[in-house]
Amino acid sequence: MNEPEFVELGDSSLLVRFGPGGEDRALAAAEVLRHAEPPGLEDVAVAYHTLAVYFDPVLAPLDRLAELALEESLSEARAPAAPLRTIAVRYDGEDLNEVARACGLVPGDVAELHASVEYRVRAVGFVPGFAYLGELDERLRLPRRAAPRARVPAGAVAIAGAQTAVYPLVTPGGWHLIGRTDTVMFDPGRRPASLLAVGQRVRFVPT
Amino acid sequence: MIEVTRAPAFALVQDGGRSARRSEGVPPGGALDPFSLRLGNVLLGNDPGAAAVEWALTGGSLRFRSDAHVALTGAQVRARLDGARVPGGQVLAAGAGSELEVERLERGRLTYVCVAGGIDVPEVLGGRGSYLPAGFGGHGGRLLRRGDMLPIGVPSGLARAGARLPPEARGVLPLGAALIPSIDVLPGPESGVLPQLEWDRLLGRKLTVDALSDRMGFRLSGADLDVRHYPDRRSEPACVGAVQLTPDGTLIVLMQDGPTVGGYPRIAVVATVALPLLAQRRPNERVALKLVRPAEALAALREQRALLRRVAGRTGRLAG
Repeated sequence: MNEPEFVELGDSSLLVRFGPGGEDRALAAAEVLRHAEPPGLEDVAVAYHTLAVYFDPVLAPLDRLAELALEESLSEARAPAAPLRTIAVRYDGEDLNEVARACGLVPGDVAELHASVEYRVRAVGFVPGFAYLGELDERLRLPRRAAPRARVPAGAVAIAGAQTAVYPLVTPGGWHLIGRTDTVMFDPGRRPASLLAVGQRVRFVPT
Repeated sequence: MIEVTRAPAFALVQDGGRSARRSEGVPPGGALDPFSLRLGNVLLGNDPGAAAVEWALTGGSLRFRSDAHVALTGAQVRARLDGARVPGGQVLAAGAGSELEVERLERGRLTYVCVAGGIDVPEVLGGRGSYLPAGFGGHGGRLLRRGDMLPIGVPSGLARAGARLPPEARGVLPLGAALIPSIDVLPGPESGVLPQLEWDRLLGRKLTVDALSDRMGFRLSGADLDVRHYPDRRSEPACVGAVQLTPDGTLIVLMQDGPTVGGYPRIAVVATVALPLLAQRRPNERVALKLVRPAEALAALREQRALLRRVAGRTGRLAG
């Protein structure tokens, strides 16, 4: 296994890059840190194949945190099992016809291709509960819209590049809207508040 | 209870922030100037991260429905309690029915209205601060409005009317109005995106805090950087203070409510100790960036903490 790359991100966070294919190692390292609860540790998060460790630099010795992040390969700690989530989608998004045209397909093909893949959550961010899912079928890959929308409705199912996502809240957005769902992606009163977490598998089901 | 009788343009409940929620995409939040929040709290005998009103830019007023001890920290304010001029950085005894008026913020962007016992709004996802993009936390997940009633928690009993912050703790603001503060930054993971020549130019420039700056990000314009070789990169976890270079050459510094992942190159990261200084800059005020070594940034942060402990020691409250 490759040695991960450590990159300081300011004085209060550390990136540990496990490299392509290293998502599960990053998730395992995050679990090791969460359980060890070293002094000064404030948060851990994984996006793509990189683990971020957030800490109080007055309380936390950086080398101890880095050591713990490396124990991922030594310990039995495993990333929590990734359950399959299904999300029901109505493929009637505002950009569906335009996407179909741009991809040389008919709208029905777009829906079918989008629903044919089992995705994995690669990152959660942008806003709470916004999960970046990969990898989109190559036939559906388009750059972001030239002019982002000021207001994308909550529940909009969208694609951009090799990724797809559901907008959890009303926000600005530059992705192509192909459908919508009633599934609540983020609810601050729920545990966990975000429906999706990094590592989880997701399938979209047309309704 | 505290009643909002005249809301400023931008005021909300904030505390020391929520931790361990980034994996759900929830940013840490909390006071943009955590140093001033903590100063006010320890002066009042509160937990350093207790919730207060983060009050930005313009005047307004509050009425106390019950006796309370209150202190204003952060921006230099012109304030009156029941008509009598009162100073910032000092514990004030506000009797039931009294009105605290912040006439204006004379220097700085944010003042913290701290109250003994803290603002007792419910914790949501581990914090009491409002997070506006998703509308949760604080008071109704939104900005304060006229007529809002804010509950006060149980005071520790350590607050003494008249207690003052020592002179060296009167906020993080530079004294001269014309002074352009240097914000300490550390090199970011993508600092190499800028050639040395561009770095030298950037560090010599005065940058303007754009009016569009908010709790998610402070936009710094006037960097005038050559971004011909703008890299295309994959997103990574983000952090508060990251100085992001956008394709049009504007710099965006991620603040406490900023996104938890991002794909813009981070040419630098603001040192934790210097975040309050940036947060206190008003729209169209200027700043400069200053590269420092990690050891210097850490030493300055230790010094800031020591100051907080000294203030806490005087009130008998141990600073966490």
